Amino acid sequence: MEQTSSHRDLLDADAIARGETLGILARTVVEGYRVGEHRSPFRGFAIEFSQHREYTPGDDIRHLDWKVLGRTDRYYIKQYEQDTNFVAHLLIDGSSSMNYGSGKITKLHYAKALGACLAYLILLQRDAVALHVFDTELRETMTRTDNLEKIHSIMDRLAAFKATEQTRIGAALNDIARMTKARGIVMVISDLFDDEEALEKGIRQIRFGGSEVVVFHVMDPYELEFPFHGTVEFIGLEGTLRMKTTPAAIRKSYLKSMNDFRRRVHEICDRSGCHYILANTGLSLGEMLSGYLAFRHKVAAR
Amino acid sequence: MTFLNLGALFGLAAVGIPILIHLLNRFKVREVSWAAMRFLQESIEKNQRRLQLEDILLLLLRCLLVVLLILALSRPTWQTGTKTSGSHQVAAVIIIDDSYSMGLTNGIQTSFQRAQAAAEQVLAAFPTGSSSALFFAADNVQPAIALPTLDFNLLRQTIRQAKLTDRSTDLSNALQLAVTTLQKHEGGESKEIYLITDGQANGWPSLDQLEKQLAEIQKQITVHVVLVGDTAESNLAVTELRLESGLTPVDQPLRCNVTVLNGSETEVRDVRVNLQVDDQPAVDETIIDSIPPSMSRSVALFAKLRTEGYHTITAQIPHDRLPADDQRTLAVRAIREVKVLLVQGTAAARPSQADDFFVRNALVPVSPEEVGQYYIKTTTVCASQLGGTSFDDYDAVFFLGVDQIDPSEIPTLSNYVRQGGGLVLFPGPSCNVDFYNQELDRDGFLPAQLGPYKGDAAANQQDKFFTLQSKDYDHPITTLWNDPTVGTLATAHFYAYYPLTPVPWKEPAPGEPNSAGGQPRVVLHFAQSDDPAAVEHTWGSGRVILFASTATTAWNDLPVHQAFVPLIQRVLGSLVERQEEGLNVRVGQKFSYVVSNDWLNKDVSVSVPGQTDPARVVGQVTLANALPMVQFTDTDLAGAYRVSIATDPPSILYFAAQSDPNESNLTPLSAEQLKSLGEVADVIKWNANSRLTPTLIAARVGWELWLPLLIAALVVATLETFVAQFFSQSK
Repeated sequence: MEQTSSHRDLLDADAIARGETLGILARTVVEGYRVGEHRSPFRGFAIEFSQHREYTPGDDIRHLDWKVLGRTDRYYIKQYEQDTNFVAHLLIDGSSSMNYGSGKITKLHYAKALGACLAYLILLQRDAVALHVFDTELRETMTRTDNLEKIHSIMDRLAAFKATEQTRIGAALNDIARMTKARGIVMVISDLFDDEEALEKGIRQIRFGGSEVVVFHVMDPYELEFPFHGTVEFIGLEGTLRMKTTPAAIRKSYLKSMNDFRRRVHEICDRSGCHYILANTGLSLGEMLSGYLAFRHKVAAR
Repeated sequence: MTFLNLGALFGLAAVGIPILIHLLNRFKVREVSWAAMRFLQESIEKNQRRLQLEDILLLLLRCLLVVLLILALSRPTWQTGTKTSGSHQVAAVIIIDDSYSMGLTNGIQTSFQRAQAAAEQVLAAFPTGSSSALFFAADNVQPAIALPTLDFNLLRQTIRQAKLTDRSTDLSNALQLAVTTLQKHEGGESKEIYLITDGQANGWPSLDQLEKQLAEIQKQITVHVVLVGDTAESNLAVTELRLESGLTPVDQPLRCNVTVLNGSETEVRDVRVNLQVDDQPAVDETIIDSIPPSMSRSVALFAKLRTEGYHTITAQIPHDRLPADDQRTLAVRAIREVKVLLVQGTAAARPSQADDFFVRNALVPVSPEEVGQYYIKTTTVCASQLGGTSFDDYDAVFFLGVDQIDPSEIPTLSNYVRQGGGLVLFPGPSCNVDFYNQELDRDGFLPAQLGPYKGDAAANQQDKFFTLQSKDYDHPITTLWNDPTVGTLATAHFYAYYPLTPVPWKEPAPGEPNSAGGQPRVVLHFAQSDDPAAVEHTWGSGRVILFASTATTAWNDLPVHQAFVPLIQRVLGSLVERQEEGLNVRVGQKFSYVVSNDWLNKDVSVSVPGQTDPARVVGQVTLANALPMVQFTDTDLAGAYRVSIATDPPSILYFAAQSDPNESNLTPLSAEQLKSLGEVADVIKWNANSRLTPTLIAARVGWELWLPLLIAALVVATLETFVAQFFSQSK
């Protein structure tokens, strides 16, 4: 009972409701190991007719359309489009910097909730989920599962995790790239306060494996707006750095640095062909998720 | 630099407050755990130097603000002058010029009203605990509050209730009295004199001497001269109103000479002058075409007095910025008849050979039928028949060719003149010169001594003659002939005359009783020798005129000249006028007038010029020098005074006070005079638009700097606000 209560708030009811309606749709067709709602890149011979093409030597004659042959005396092969299910790797940043939260929730909490919601939605449509929490390395890993019953286990693991270490996102992405044998989807949920070069390299490796990458950039509204007054001593969450300043006097400069950072990350994502979504912890998780899923739905329908 | 509130300087310690706040702000730090340290570090490193500079600048501005505020509270002063009294108490004398030039108005305020305002500001400038006396000064000093008083309400009330006089200005007496008052004043206060005047040059007749006096007392007493005068581009003034006729008979035209002065630097045209009798509309009017700058013009105007008794004649010009000198008033007594006693030496066989022939006809120049109606009545007696004649029945007595009289008559004659009678003496060819010089002139009764006669009246010698002066007539009897159109006295031939030597005369020293005889004045003189042809002087209340030649054609042909009639008429006029001289006084002069014995001990009420209230009782008719007299001293205003004697019915008489024409000259003290005065006194030119109090405080303690400091503090506070706002904007 206690365990249930500790992770209950990870599932945002609003987010789940919106997610159920829209479903998780891989933007690109992924190779599935079971028929699902995702179209398989392996067209041909299974469930749903897609198109005809002329027979070429070497084609399996089992797929010849005999009816066309009988009527027209021409050899055509029937091709089918096959739905497939996918493996979604949820990669959650568990470094100390994620412990910051100006309001009731920290970025880590927001990331855990987002991860839980996504996992639930993915499992709900009978796709598989693999969960990873990383800081300097992959700290928590749950092998993939398509069993909805496992959601409790996922949430327990998420709820139990405490962030203590620094971030090394490059290493985590490399590990994930090695682990994804089949093409799937990798969802990175992080504040990305790390080496941008390593980030780009990691994403590129995953993309090279054929998987889609979605980056949820988790930011606190205070990090985005820097609305402090008076004299403030900032204590670094990662490391021992302490800095005293009058934030109002440097706000413009700070915001410029921050926006430049976000722009660079966005560019990395664009260059690597992955989605970049700003997850502002000051906004409703449900709205953010539904916005993203609506976007995916629209892209999938093309 | 000195500080009036030195204690406030301890407040400078408050300069530590912004520093303390600055330091406290450094310690008052909110701690925030922060993830995005990388971006924060970048920003801080980029802005650290600027932030430090901004901090220091703001801190300096705040410290400066505190310093300025504390300095303002400590009331620093910047010493510009030599005055050192600081905020110590002051014993002062305020002198306000109340001469009539202070009546110069700018259309809103007169100089005197500005002087009153200035005096109140002077009071406001005194430090607490100071005392002041208050004098009003013109040609006299009126110590309204003679000794320094602490009662400033009384001082203010006295200043506000003060009234302008029509006196002229001489401020030296007032300054002298103020100096004496302060020298006698005991106490450790600083001593100051404030002289508030219009700076008219006439008010400082002996400026050099005054400056010496001020220089002597400069170390003990500070003298401030506050000039409140306005510049007047032009001022017209009636400087003289004179009755040319001498006599004032009823229903006869009286010739009045009116002199108008143009006190400006430009020519004035078309000046209207009119003449009023009593308060009636103008009876005569003329226009002076042009008066050159700084020059006077005289015009003759005529008036008639319709009833016997006392009247006023007023000459008036249109009002200008100084109204006080735009009119001048004479008081006269209209008479029905003038009785003249002609005493001749010997009776003649034919009337035309009689000693009184020419004088009698000159006095009554009308046809025999009209003699009865003519206002001059003559009676002729021989010198030998004088015994028992009452001189008091006559207004004037003419001695015509009288060799000598009974010595017992001399005291009677002397008393007659002393009490206001007029005596004219024309010696005859056989005149007893020794009798005249020794018997008649025993106690200085005659204005001149007769010498052995000059010339020869024999028929064969008549080609040798003397003539009278032809110009420069300065005696009132003969000024008429300054106008060549009325004829001349210079054509008369004098073959012989007694050289007249005016008796020596010395002005009585202050405090000495006046001698019976006044200063002898030459009425006429001969052109060739400058010997007097006629000399006159006053004797008691009367007048004696002594001619050098005969009143017949024995020694001269003057009696057959046209000019003889007006000459004799004017001689008679001067004798009668002498009796009425007391009706016209200078402003400030005591009015003393001999009246009827019947009025003795009756109440006397006087209405002053411009007074609308009922006349106030000022005293009674009393005996002075054994004569019943009406006396009144408060004659500060020019114009007609109405005197009412409480008889049944009341008896009314008028007298007039006339202001000093020199006061109409509004020329201010020159720049050089002001400069030399400035070396011994603090000369302040004040106009009503500025505040005098700060200037005086500055003169005493230096310029107070609290206001500029406060303004600077406000500027710094505003600057600090803007700078802080600017710095707080994100960069």
